[in-house]
Amino acid sequence: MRLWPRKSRLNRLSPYQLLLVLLMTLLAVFMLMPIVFLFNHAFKPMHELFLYPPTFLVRDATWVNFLDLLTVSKSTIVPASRYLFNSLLTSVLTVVAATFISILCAFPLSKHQFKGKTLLFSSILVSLMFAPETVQIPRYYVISSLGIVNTYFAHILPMVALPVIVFLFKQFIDQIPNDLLESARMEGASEFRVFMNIIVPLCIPVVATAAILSFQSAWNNLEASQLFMEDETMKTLPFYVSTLTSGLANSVARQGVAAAAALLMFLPNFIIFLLLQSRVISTMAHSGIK
Amino acid sequence: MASVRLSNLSKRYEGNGTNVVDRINLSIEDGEFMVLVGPSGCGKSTTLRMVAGLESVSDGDIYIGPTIVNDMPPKQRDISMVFQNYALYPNMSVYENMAFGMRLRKTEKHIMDSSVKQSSRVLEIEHLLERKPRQLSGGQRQRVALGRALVRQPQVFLLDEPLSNLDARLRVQMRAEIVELHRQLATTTIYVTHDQIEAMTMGTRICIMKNGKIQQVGTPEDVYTRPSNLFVAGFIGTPPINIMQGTVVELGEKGFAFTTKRFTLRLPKRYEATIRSQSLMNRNVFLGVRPEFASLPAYYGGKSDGLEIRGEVFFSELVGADRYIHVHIGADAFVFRAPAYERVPIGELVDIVLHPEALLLFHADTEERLPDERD
Repeated sequence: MRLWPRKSRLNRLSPYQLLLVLLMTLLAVFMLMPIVFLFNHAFKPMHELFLYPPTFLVRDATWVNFLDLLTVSKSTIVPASRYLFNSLLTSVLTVVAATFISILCAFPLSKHQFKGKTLLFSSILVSLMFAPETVQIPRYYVISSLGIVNTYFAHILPMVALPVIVFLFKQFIDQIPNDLLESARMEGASEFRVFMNIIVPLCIPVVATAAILSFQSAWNNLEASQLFMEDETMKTLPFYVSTLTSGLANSVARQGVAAAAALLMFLPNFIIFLLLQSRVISTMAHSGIK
Repeated sequence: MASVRLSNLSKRYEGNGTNVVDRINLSIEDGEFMVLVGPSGCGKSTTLRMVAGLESVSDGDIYIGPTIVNDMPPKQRDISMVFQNYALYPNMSVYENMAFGMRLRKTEKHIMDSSVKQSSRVLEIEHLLERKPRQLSGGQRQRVALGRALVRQPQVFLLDEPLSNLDARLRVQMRAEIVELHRQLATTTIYVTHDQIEAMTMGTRICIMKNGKIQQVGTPEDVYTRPSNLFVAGFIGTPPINIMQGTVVELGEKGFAFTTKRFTLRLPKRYEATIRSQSLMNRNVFLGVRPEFASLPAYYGGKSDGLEIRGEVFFSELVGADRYIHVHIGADAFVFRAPAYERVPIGELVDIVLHPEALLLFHADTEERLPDERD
């Protein structure tokens, strides 16, 4: 048995392609380094964390940082698991709500004619360009007048409106032939039926991309915990992680816990991306070609 | 089943003053197969979409049966439509595609089952019911689209260029199948196409449109042999009709002749009355001759009767049973039919006999066909 099946001349890479592959591989390795470091760092025992010069790879791998994260922080009023639970709950709800509402918004923008449509769509596009900081104060004002400070709603509602996803869905729905919708209408489908039975099922490939985008923004969202939550029990993991290091006067204590928490913060993003990546890439390719 | 009547029907788009469909009157009998045909942009699809209820009506009325349906939403019109790209729901199986309409109407399961089964049997797609549209070939998709329209047993069938995405062989086959299907079901059908061969072979009647106006409505024989104007004459038939411009002159007792710089042809007697009544002497007219009504002298049995022209062969085209020979008469091109085995060398001068019974005359200004005794 041959380990390397012989390739035909056609499949062989030209020198230029070979160079390109080499360069891309190097770039990929370079981009991978922080992630490798993150994994290694979380398993380093205390003495390795402060080594100078710092080591890239862990020598004595240990779970102690994770144990600390879960047990030591138990001594504080709110255990780390509570933050984790809050984060998971709000992120999942956000993903579901944001995706559904974005499709709901993109459908009329793409397939219906109404007054002020262009204005509405351009305002959604413009909102893509705002730096998040500029809307913090108005957003706080809205949240507090709605009376949802200190509830899960304050975590979820601000994240539901994601212009990027609306844009993504709109571009995708644009490609769905009108005949399909007209045919359904002629067969007696109401607009909502058309939406549920045709638009939503056809949008499933884009949902993967939308899910990643909205999950990332929800999972890493610090603002809600900082501004809208009064109770410690309502805050989320990113907030907890930020208090572990920057909140304290010295930067030595709990470095191990912080490293473990950082990995914990990163993992869900990583897993979701691994699961959905093939679909994401096909979405990107799709919307590019057509 | 029902008849369909369009009365002064017009369509205008905002911001664009011209009528895409301009006051057309058309009445389609119950059970008729009406083909709307014309070049792109002639308004045929818009007309169909107005009947379907997918476009609003700017002016005029649409009757389906005795009722005006102008403001009735598509789903209440009891019609079904087949789209050019089939518009099958990609996320549903063939069965679901066909049952979708009935499911929306909350039809009972066993009725739905049996109607889907029945239509799929008619179209021979029973074995495909579980598949998704993307697993089907073009021809199969076309059948499913037809089946979906069929299954609801509508009053009127609308077909919008249903065959234009198929390859040539399949198109011919489906053409025959649709006609056969219509013969079985006898449902009123409106069929839109830009392909005049489809129109000729399928329609019980044909409606030829141009720039939003109806040019002629009639049976295929009618529009072919007695086109109402130059446009219809040129649009229907391949290769297209030969059109020559010339002047009518009086020959005294011998009647009238059509003359150009290069030749003079004696016009048949049946045009005399018209020429006199419209006083076309010494005026310009167009003369039209279909390629199959012109031939080499050896292949014409009748008397040539002064209807001979002479041209230089520049191209000869074999299309199976026949050969079309293209000649130059001065600067004009002229095509006529000859048997396939007739080989005429390029560059040779040949005599061509025009068959007097098939000569058509058109008014030079209005481009309308001039009536003769047979009208």
